[in-house]
Amino acid sequence: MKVAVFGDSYADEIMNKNEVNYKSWVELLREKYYPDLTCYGMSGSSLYFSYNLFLEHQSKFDKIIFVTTTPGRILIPKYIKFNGNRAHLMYHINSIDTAIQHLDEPAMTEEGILATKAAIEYFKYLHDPVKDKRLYNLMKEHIRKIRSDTIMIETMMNGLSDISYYEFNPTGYRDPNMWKCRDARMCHLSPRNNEILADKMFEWCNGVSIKIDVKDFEVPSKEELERLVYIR
Amino acid sequence: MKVAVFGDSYADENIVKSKFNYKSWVEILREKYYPDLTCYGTSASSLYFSYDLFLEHQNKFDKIIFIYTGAGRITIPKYIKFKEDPRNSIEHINKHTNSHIMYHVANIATAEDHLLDHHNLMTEEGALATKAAVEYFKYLYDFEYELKMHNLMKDSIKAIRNDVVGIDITPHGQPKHGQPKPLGLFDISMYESPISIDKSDWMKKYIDCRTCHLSPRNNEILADKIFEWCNGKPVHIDLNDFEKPTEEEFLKHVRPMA
Repeated sequence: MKVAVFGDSYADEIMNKNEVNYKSWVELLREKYYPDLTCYGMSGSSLYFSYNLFLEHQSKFDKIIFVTTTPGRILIPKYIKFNGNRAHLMYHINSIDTAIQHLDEPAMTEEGILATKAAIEYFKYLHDPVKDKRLYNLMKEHIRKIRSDTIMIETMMNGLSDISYYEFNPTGYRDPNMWKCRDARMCHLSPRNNEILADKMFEWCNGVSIKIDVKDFEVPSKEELERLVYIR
Repeated sequence: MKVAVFGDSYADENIVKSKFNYKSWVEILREKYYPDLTCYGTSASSLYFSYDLFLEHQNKFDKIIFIYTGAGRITIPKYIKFKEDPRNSIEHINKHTNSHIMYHVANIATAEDHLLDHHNLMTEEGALATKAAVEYFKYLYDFEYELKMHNLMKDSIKAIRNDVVGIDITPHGQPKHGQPKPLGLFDISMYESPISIDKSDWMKKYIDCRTCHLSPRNNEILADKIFEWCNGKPVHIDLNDFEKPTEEEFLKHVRPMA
């Protein structure tokens, strides 16, 4: 069975791979269940980035897993060029903070700086959360219309971020400072929770209703968490 | 019957009203056929601007006429404030104040025009937002993205109101197999012109003071056509149904930029 995975950092099997040597749910799903799995997940990417890839590639696959990111992210157009092996990461801007970080990257070019600064100004003066949410919902509806069999998994409300936070605090408290830390977890999850999620994904691909219940996941030890998520 | 019209300058019954006193198709449609017609058309506005109004108001109306503007225009968010100029008050039927024009940025030229020529309405935050729009057009604008969002909004409008009378300004996309390319309202505007000019040069080289970008006669014809479309005829623009004004009449309303 040919399977495609679309999404942001929650579906990116490469991000953090060099730093922490454990497998993401994407790799585990491929190894255990679907050897012919293609992953299009890209850290920091917008829903539009994945939607566009979905429109281009979905017809080649028997099963689609789509991890929906948050609304309001920006994709810098392809005609803007960046340098080096991190160039592909520079196109994805999820906040002013990301854009500011990108400006210090060696991948930056003159036109890249102008585009990244334009993104900062956009977030400051043109960002309309209501519009973003509406367009986001229209893209999701269109994905479902094209492929009603899509396994669509949210990242935010009742989504994968619940598990990320649960690993820190089983009461469900979302410490806003958490995201100021360097999160080196594969797909923002511990090794064990990547394993559990891979099995869940397989179940969802086989007709079980999609439901994220944090009780199905495990809280890693404090030591393990501190190794994976730390102050920059 | 309660009728609503949404759209850009092609559906704005107030555009350049003070200059040439002839009626737009919107006013003719109201007078001849639908006395209870509300017009939300706003010059230079984006499809999202009209889509937002449509979502808010559509359920109050028995019939919706939606003029789909081109893809890729920007609406500055409402949290950015511009000034009001009491010397230049315009009573819009959709209750917009005269600063409303500053929220609609169709392209870089419009943004630059707002920055240079509308000091009376500009604010500090408005200037920052308008400059952000210029930078957006220069470095972030992606027509493929704009077109996809445009089409999603159009599909959503049709899904919410399958009885919508939807009319494109410039139809995007390829014609259906074996069919000629569909035409839009912009094609009628161009058809009126006695001057042969490339479409892309049109906005840059001419000041168009026609009401809804059409001659008085073609506004009349369009009002009748829209009435027919509201009554079940498929929306189809055939230039042979419209009339070419004389060169003299055309140049009364359209003049080359200095």
